[in-house]
This record gives sequence, structure tokens and C-alpha cells, in this order.
Amino acid sequence: MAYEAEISRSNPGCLVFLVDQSGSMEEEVDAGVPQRKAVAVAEAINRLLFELTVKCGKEDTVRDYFHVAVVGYGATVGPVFGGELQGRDLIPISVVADNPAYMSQQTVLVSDGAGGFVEAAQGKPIWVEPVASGGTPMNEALRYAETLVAGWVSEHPGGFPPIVLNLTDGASTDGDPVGAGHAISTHVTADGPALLFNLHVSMGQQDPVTFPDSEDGLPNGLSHTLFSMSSVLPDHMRGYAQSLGYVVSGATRGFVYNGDISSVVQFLDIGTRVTNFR
Amino acid sequence: MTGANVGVAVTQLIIPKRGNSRSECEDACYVVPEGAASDLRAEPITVVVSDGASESTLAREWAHHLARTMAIGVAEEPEALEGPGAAFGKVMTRLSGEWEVWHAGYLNRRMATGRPPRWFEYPKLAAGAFATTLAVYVDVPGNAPPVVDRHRRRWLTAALGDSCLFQVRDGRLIRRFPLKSAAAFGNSPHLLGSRDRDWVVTGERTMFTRGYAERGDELMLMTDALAAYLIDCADETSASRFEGLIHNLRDFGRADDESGFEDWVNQQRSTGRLRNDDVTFVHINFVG
Repeated sequence: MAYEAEISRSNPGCLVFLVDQSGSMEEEVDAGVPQRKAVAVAEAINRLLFELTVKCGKEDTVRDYFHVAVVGYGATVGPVFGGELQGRDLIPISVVADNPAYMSQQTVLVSDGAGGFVEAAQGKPIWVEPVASGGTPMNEALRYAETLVAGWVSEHPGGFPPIVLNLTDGASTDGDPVGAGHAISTHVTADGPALLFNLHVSMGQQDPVTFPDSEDGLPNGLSHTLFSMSSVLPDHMRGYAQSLGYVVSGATRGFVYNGDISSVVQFLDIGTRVTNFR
Repeated sequence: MTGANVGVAVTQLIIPKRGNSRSECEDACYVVPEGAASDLRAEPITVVVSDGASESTLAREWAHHLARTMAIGVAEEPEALEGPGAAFGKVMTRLSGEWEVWHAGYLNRRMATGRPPRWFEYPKLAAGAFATTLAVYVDVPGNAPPVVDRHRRRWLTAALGDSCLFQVRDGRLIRRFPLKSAAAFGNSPHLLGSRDRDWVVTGERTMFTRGYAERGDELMLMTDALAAYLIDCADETSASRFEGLIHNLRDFGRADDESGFEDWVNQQRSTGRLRNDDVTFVHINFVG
């Protein structure tokens, strides 16, 4: 059975996030209040990194169960971590935890220990800032991810296969991305081929197509393109998607089209799900 | 048979998951009264096994606290294992009260040594620590009507989660508790949380049962990885693998052979039959 390898400090997992930073990400989505797509996606990535760090936290240390890369594509293609991590690709999660670009201060209500609540300042780590400029060089971004995946697989041939999550709002402007997408899954560990999941973020005015198992009903060429290069969800992710209320089958793919903000969060949650976590 | 040769011997063997150090092991076990594995005990015995949930904070500390405090509490109030009544609530209240004192001291020590909680610790600190628990109380001999055997001993047990008890007689498995099949082991067992305060709800989630042990019987307590393996072997059509497993476990228990047990556990892990997890095995042998 594939996708059952143990994820541990000696055999960590690999997550690569591809983030569309093209000019169209400046457009607003309906998130209750209008919000730019670039802001919504950056917030979702920061939140995912926060939750991943908490998950790997063991008291005051963070165990390196994952190495993470966040690659932006727009005016340029490359890593988008800010601060001390600027310019770095795959980074152990403990290093990510130690080096947010900055801590955004927010006010939260905490218990005063006597049945009431008081306001307290709490830091929220920020690693990735919203960016929106240039075209959508998805081909180049997928090839960049493939390079990271190839290196990882050669160094971890027995580990859980790398997972690439592509978040975009439009069509590739540097040619058909299907070949570059399929090239990612040609890199195989003893536990299975690398995975590529795709999420298309919309203006929030059309119904999302979430985790489909066929191309029937997909609305246009872009959706067919992204579907065709999306991997089938492994069993444990499919089971988790089902537990969240999605209708799934053995052919369900890691793909969302016309996703709204909640779809982004759930896509990242499902697509980074691992169970054999030690 | 003389009284000097009759009693209960208790052995506890704990092996960390492969790749982890002993200090990272999140299984815990506590026996009241304390004693050597070679002791033959005629007095009542309480054993608690706990398996800390790896993804929670302070899982090791909570599992150790839970095992120790619950074992002491049940030894004082064995009726706590008869059902979710007042005695059960009393033991649980003591458990949480003493943890709160320990936890406040832990945070104070962190602050005093210049190591306040970091930003990523707060969500897990707020949620609390989690662990399974399996408690067993073995009564004195003869306190079990009808007394057909003056050495027969009643036992009571309670379990929350997937740590299991098995009763073996003449090499056969005659009781399995609380899980009955390999399919019942999942990734989300019931857990006791350090912040749980509603003992009625906890009592409803806890499984209780009782039984009797005769001379020569064995009770085997174990955390989930080994328990799932034992049930898997027991349910095979062929009895040979189960018989071999019981033979091995009995030998490790009787000899208090932790080194041999660790080698055997690692062999089973390397074949893929035994999941790589912390392993606790407690052998309660009714000698006589």
C-alpha cells in the first residue's frame, strides 16, 4: 500500500506550496467582507504554517517532522519566505518556527483566573506577505517544484512522498502546465509517487467544485487542465475529506475549482494530512 | 500447596518507540504496592497503565501522573473500578487537583528560569494533556463468592481508550477488554484529558468489568500496538502464532527480561507486524 510510510524526525515529510502572485491576485474575493485574493491566500499559508508548527511542537521545542518550501510565481518565481529565511527553499519546520518575518500583535481575551476575561496581547507569526504583480508562470513554478521534489526523493527514497500544493487564480501564461505537473509525479519513493494538488481561487461568485472524481461538469478548459494534473487523494486524505462532509470515491482528486476562502483552508488541511505521524 | 508458594507476581516492561530515547517514552505504568518482580504478593494489588497522546503537550508527564495518582487512589478506594459512582469521581477529582498543582509549578519553573511558553505552545497548553488509561485491582484471595478455590482472586478493571487487558488460562485467551477486534483500534481512541472535569461524562465513556483469576492464570496488560498485535494473532485460523506469542510474553514476564523483550519487540517491528509505538507490557501471574 502506498502513502503509509511513517513520518518521523529521521524520516520527515516534504511540503511544497506554490502560490500564484500574479497581478490578478489583487482582485477581491467575498469573504464576508471584501478581501484581496493575495491577502486571503497569504493568510491561509501563514495559518497553515502556524498549525503545522503547533502540531510538531513538543513543549518548548519543535520536532522536524516536516520540511517546507513556499514558492511564489508572478513577476518572478522563487521562495517567498521573508526575514531571515529569505531566499531559502526547503526548510525544517523548527527553523520556520524560530524565524517568522515578524510577529503581528493581536488582542485576545484570556481568562483572568477568577471567572472573568481580560484583554491580552498575543503574537501571531507572519512568514509570507501578500504579493500581486506580473503574469502567471505556472509552468516555471511547477518545474521549480519538480527540482525540489527530485532532490528530496533522492535523499529520502524510503520516505513519505513529497506533496506539492498549487494555489492559483487563473490560467498559466507560460504555456500548457500539464506536462510540468505530470513530471512531478514521476518522482517516486518506496511509498509512492509525489503528489500534486491544485486549488483554483475564485471571486466567490460561483459554486466551488470540490474534490471531483471525474471531469464531468467541470465548466471550462482551465478546470479540465488543473483536474488532469491533480493526483488522486490517498486513502487517509480521502477519508478525512469524507469526515468533513465531502462526497468522495476511489478516484477523487486533490483539486478544488472556484474555491472560496473556506475552501482554501480546507484544501490545505486535507492536502497536508498525514496519519502515520511519530 | 503451601501459602509461601502462592501469590501474584507482577512484572512491567516498557520499550520506547524505535528512534526515540527512553526519556521520550510516553507510556507509563505504576503498581501499588511497589515491589520487585520476584515478589509473590498475597495482598491486594493495583496496576495502572497509561499511554500519553503524542500530539498533546506534556503527554509523558500526564501519563506518569495519571498512572501514579490513579493507582494510589484505586488502592485506597477499589470500588472506583466497580462503576462510575462516587468513588470513581473521588479518584478523578484527586487526579485533576494534583495535576493542577503540578502544572502551575511547571509553568512557574519555566518563567523563573527564563523559559516562558513560546507562541506555538499556547494552543496545546490551553487544550491540556491527553492519555489512555487502564486500571486493574486484584483483590485478596478468597474474597470472591462462591469460593470454590480459596486461592481464587477477584479482579476489577476500568479502561478509557485502547490500552487492553487479556486473561490467559492454560495458554488460551479467555477474556479481552475493552477492545475485542483488531478493527477496533483506530487513530482516535478515547482519551482522558488533564482538563476534563465532568466525571459523569468521563464515567460514561469509561468501560468497567470484572473477573476471577484461578491459580495459574495470567493477566496481561498492554498498550495499543502490542494489544492490536495480540488480537491479530488470536484471531488467526492457525493457533501457532498466538501460542508462540503467549509463550514469549510469559517468558519475558516471568524472567523480568526487559532486554530480551526489547529485542523481540524490535524484531516484530522490523517484520511490520508490530506498529512502531511505545510498548508497555504488564504480566500479572497468579502463581500457585
